[in-house]
Amino acid sequence: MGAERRPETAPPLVCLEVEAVSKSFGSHRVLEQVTLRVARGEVFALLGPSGSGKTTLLRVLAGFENADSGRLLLDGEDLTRTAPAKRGFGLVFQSYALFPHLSVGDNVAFGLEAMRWERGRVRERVREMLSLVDLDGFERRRVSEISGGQQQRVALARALAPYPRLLLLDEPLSNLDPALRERTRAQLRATLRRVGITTVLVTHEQEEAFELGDRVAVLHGGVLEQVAPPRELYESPATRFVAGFVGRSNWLPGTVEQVLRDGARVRLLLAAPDAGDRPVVWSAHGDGLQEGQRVELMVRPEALKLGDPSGLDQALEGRVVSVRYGGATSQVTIETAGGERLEALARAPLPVGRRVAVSLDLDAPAPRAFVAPGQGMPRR
Amino acid sequence: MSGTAPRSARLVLRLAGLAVACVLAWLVGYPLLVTLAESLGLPRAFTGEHFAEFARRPDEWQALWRSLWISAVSVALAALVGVPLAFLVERSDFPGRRTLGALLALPVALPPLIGVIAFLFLYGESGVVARLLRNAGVDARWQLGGPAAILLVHAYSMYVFFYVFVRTALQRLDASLYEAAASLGASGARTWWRVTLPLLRPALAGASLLVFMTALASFSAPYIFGGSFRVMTTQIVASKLNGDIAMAMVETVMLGLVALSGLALLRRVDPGESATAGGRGVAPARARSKRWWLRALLGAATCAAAALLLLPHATLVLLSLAPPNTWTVEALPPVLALDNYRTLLASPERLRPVLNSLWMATAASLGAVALGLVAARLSLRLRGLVGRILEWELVLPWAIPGTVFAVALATTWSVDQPAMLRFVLVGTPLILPLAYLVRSLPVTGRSALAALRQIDPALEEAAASLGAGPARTLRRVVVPLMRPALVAAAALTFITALGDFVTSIVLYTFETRPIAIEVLASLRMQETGVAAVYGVLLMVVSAGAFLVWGGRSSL
Repeated sequence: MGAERRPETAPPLVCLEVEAVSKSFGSHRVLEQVTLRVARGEVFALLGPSGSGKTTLLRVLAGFENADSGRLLLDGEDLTRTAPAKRGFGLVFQSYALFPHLSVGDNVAFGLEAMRWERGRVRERVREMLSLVDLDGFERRRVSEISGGQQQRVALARALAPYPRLLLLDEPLSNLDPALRERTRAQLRATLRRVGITTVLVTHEQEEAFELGDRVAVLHGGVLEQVAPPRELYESPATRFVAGFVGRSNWLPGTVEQVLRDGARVRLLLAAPDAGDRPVVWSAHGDGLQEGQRVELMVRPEALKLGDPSGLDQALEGRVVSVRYGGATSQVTIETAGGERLEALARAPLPVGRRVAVSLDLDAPAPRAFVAPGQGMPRR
Repeated sequence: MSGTAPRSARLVLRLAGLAVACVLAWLVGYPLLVTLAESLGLPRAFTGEHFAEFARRPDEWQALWRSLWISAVSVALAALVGVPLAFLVERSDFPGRRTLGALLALPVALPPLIGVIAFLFLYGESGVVARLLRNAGVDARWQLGGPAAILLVHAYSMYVFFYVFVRTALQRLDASLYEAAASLGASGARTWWRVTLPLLRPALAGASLLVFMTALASFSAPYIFGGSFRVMTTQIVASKLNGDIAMAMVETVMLGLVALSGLALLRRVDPGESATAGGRGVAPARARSKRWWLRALLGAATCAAAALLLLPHATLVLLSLAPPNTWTVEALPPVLALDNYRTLLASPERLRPVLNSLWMATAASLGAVALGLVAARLSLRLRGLVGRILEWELVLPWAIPGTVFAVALATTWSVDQPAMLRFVLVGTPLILPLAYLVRSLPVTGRSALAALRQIDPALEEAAASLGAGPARTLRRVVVPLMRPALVAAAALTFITALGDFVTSIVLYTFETRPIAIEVLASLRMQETGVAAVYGVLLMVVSAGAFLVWGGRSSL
């Protein structure tokens, strides 16, 4: 399967189109020619480390920042020059930004009043929205009287009340403690599914992006690295950055021995070859590989199998140096004779010092080979 | 390509900012520049002759020097009274603590001239205290006058700045800081020097600056008690009344320069960033003495302190209740009746100053709040050069003594030169409200700036994302969130304008004479009872506004 950096296949019923948007603050380039399309009803997650430009992109979408260049279209309508108040987007802020001087009900009604709805309709819609987020009867409460999770839901209800054309969520769960975050995330997911609104979500947490997003875009240094559904992102990362940022990974150097239809057989280059000088050759996916090329192999911990060092073919030998007990599985670190460190998962905790053979689990997704830096393809 | 709609909105914003900056420059900066220019002989011929004359006269130097040392000693005295009181109220627990805490801020509510007169009737040579002592057979003869009397009044009215600033800072100090110091083995004294004092520094510096500037600008006390002991403010008014306009302008410029350099100097000493702002913990518990007698003693001392603070107010009330010619040699008035109040209410001519002060103070506070709000909002939205200029214009009048402003306004607005944007306002009902407004801009502008800075920008963005335009956002989100600060600023402005004496004495006309001027006139006509009634009226209205201010500013 080719995980080529595909020109994005236009999903059906494109709703939001971002075309070559760039943005600098002073001499600092924050967004570099970002292009993406979001389908109607899709939940689209922007994932990246802090400073990757994801919040700036969201603020450009909301209209609080002007792009230096590029266009923004919603259902074909150019909104690049439209003021925030006229875009008709719903926005949930990281801090929620609930109006502290207004009650819960008045917060939710704010956008409806700005649209000059008549009072009865406003009241009806407020009740409907509070019911949607499980806060029936909270109309008269003060914002300061309710919990953080409830505030988050009020912010969502307020954003959804005026029937926005697009919902923008800026790190919507980052202000909650971990236990509450998990529960609120599930509620948020259910609400978004029920409403069926096109949503762009910004987060730095992979788990949040994977659980909420139909597709996830990874941003790094203002550049879109990859846009894909969560599974594809994890199993077929398009760039070294995505591979390293999403999930845990092991990196091993190697050379391409033979190019196959959708990948290659890669001979590992180990610091201290195993006894008998048997070469270890693993098959991997990868783009644009050529024979004899130096590559780096990315292997997920769960793709490694640990066994007895009794002459297993195509295995590395090593010693367990540390074990982190994690309940269902434990995280095991193995050091090879040459000093390479590998991370693997084990059902049963292994004793430190035990000698093990590390091989590929053929049922797990295959490793990915990335052309080593300075070997033709530009490194991202 | 950037959005054109935001860009055009930005242009409108910038133009509005520029327009407001020009209006403020015209109101605030222009009169000062005109005064400076005319003190240098412009527009006829540039000459330093007036300044040379100033330098030749020893009495001018003496007045300047007196202004400086009176201000410095006022700072010391105010700190000496205010800081211990703040610690007493904030760090110990005794019966009546809350009441005393509130009462201690009261002197601020007493308009300067009224406070001075109350002192005169209380501690003066024929005041209540002297009479009581004489009736008790003590040969009490003293004269309340000169620098000592000025300093007494300053200490009484200005310790409040230290008291309020330090008390607020103490409330914000985190108890965990003390616990940390104790856990590191620091003794009580060491903790005081190394923890408490450094953390109080911004509050102490802020209060020192405020007291110094207030004392430098003080006019009522030197005017009533000074006699031949002239400070700069009284010197200016004397020169102006003597018709030596050129010298009055030079003196005005000199006092303005001293005030500005004082401000700059004190700002340099302490940039004023608050070290306590980061801590959001719990203030240390109040020490409650286990010894009952100590608590009782503190309680009794509290009552005494409260009585001492309230004595000037009580004297005024007493005086207002003594019918004319009934109180001669007795220690306390033999008859108490409402004659003086009736006299005042029955005469439209005597009521006129009350109505004058009320409408002028109301107009000035509303105008100052509106202008301060608009300028502060534009200043923060624009940032950049225009934003900084706006902020500067809002703060500048604060550093300029009232007398300086009064002379500057009198100079600028007494000439009809429309081409120079100068019009005759002196002698019209407009000049006093305008003067009050300009002097109040720092209060309203600074509190608007502070309140706006505290509003999370995300709130305005949230309003915009919900479809609210700039006007709606201002009306439904920004102003409601600023309301406590705006109401407090309006109340403070109102109190100041209502009791104003220092600018009024330079700018009033008979038609627009405010209460303070009438008080002085009544005293000159030996109508002490009526003067006291005016004082009580001012006191009551000011106290009402003060309660609004206190209630709002603590939110």
